This record gives sequence, structure tokens and C-alpha cells, in this order.
Amino acid sequence: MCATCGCSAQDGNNSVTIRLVKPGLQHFQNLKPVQNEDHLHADEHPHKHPDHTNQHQHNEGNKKISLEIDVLAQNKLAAVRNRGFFEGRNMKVINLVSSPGSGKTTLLEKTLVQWKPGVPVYVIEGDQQTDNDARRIAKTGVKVVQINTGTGCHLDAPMISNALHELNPEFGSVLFIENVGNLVCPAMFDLGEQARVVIMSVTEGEDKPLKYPHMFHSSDICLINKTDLLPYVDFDMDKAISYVYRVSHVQDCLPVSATKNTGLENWYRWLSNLLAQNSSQVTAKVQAL
Amino acid sequence: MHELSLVCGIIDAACEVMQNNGATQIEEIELEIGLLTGIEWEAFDLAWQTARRNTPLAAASCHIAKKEGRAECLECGRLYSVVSLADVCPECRSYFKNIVSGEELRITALVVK
Repeated sequence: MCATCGCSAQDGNNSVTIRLVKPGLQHFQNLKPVQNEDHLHADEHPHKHPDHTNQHQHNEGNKKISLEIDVLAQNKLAAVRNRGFFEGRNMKVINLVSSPGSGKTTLLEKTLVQWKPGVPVYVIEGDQQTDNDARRIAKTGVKVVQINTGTGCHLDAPMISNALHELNPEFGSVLFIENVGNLVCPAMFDLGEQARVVIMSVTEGEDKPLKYPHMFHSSDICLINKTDLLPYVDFDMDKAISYVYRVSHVQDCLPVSATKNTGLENWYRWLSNLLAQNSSQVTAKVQAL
Repeated sequence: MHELSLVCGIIDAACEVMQNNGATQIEEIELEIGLLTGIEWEAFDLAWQTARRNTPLAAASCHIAKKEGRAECLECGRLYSVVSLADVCPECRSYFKNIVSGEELRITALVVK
């Protein structure tokens, strides 16, 4: 049982796998589990034989230990390490989070083709199973690493650290991390990113921010995707935006349609602004949150 | 999913402290959990009962200090209690706030032997 998320990540079939995906690569070719050393598992704790304690009666007195242990400390430490790596390589790292089917991958495909930052761009794809999304991204010519979490419901900072060894990003580059489609769990797991982008779509209903406030609360900007479908769905854009601001401090809410190329210029402008900030400014902001 | 995650993290961290103190069993564990962490208590109890089997925490009693959510209004500065992140300032009706407590997730004490 996984220490951080309760997933059964140590089972052979469900191991977390990390691999570089190239455009021509077939499904699951060379798929080999990567043992994540930082990803500790509770079952690994030695279980002392109960009879053994009877031999040490002088040690049997109870001892109270006062502590201040953050339950998520292991992930937070790994996230801080990642953040240092990104700062050292002068990188900008963006974590994309949303529910499944909100259009993250389509948005990312469009972004990789249309946004011209003038620096190398990389992608880490997170999904429970398959490398379908990574193969879509690889077609754009961008170097992409797929992380399959098995039964895990989110990416964590040690997984990103391992993926970075595969990716070996250049100095001054941009990295997009597409998280597992889930509006609950990824909210609690800092990956070391400098900006978190939450994407909702008009087909999901305008009350998503109120139903899943933690994800919106922890994000820096909100994109509302699939605006081309507005004529066909009962979605009140003003209400949706007001709900986002009720639960979060996002810098902006940008209505976009990734498939029809509407509103994307605002998104690219936001990305370019992020790129123009120096890393220490961004890091200071993230720490302040 | 959340709750099992957290319980496994708690067990892991507690066992490490126990081992570092040369103990083999945990009699009591004290936790501090904020009410804004989004924990579903029924799910937490179920996860706790299930995950601690065959660990040194199998017979431990668990005391949870639940910390109320508190926010500081970023418009008028008023400190107020929040049950949901979508709560509004009772003074100026602004939603713009900083959470000052209620997001804790800590082990505060262990009794080991």
C-alpha cells in the first residue's frame, strides 16, 4: 500500500511507470516498471515479533513523544527539491489540473503548436493507464515523458523528480505537467511547479468551483474551456466566474475554446508574462500562498 | 481516496518515529486535523480501521483535535470562522480571504512502548 495516496503502487501490474514517448513508438513498448525510491510504502516497515518485547521488561514503560509532523512532509520536501532544480535551470513549470475530459490535452496540443516562447518546451503527462495522451503530444514534436500512476489518483513530487531524469530539460526551458484528470487529490500535492492552472469546461456546470473548492483555491489561473459549446448547454459564464473568485485568488478567468481557437491569445499572453518574470519572484509568490 | 492516502501517511510517519525511539508498539496517537482539509470523517475512520491492521498501530487509540477553519478577510481584515472555502466575510461580504487555520494535518504526539 502506498504511503502517500493509498494506491497499490508496489504491485507488479500497477507499478508507477515513467518513460519517454516518441511519435512512432507502439503502445506499451518497452514498458518497464520504475521503482520509485522516494515513494515509500507502508508495508516495508519491519514488523517486530510481539513476543520479543517480553524479554525486555525494563523497557516496557510507556513513553510519550511530542511531535509536530506534517503528514504530507515527504511530498513537500520532494516538491521543494524540484523547485530548486527548476530555479537552478531557470525553468518555468506549469501544472495543469482539471477533471477528466475538460480538454487539457487538446489545450496543450494547441499551445505547443501555436505559442512560440522561443525556448525549448517539455511535457510530463500523467494518466492512470495508457500513453495515448503522450503520443498525441509527441506528434507536435515536443519531448514528452509519460507517467502512469497505475491506480494512483494524482502525480506526486517524487514522480516528477524521477521523470526529470528521463527528460533532462535544457536551461531556460518551459515544462508543462498534465496532471491526472481529478479535481480532488492533485490539489494536496505540490509538485514544485511555479504556476498551477485549473481548467474547467462549460459542459461540466458552473458550480464546479463550489463543489471542488480546494483545487480552485490552490490554482493561479482558471481557464473555462469549450466555449464553442455554450449555445448548446445551460451554462452561466458570469456565475461560473463569480464562483471561481468566491473560493480562490486566481489572477484571471479566461474563457477559451481550444478546438475552435477562441480566446487562446489571452492564455498565451499569460504564459509569456510568466516566462518574463524572474524565477525568484515566482517562487516568492508560490511560497507566500 | 484522499482519506486512505492520509491515513497511510500517518501510519508511515508514526512508525518511523517509533523505530527511532527504539519502541515496538504505539499505544496512543494524537492528531491535529483542520476542518478545511476536506476530510470525510466516515471515510477516514474506515481507512484508519483498515490500514492500521498488522502495523504497530493496530491497537493504538487515536485522539483527533479538530481545528476550526479561520480566515482573514483581505478587504476589511476581520478574522472569522469558515466552514467552507466559499464562505463570505460577515463584516463586509467579501469572499477575498486568506485561510489562517483549518488546513492542519499533523501528528502532535505518540505514546510508544
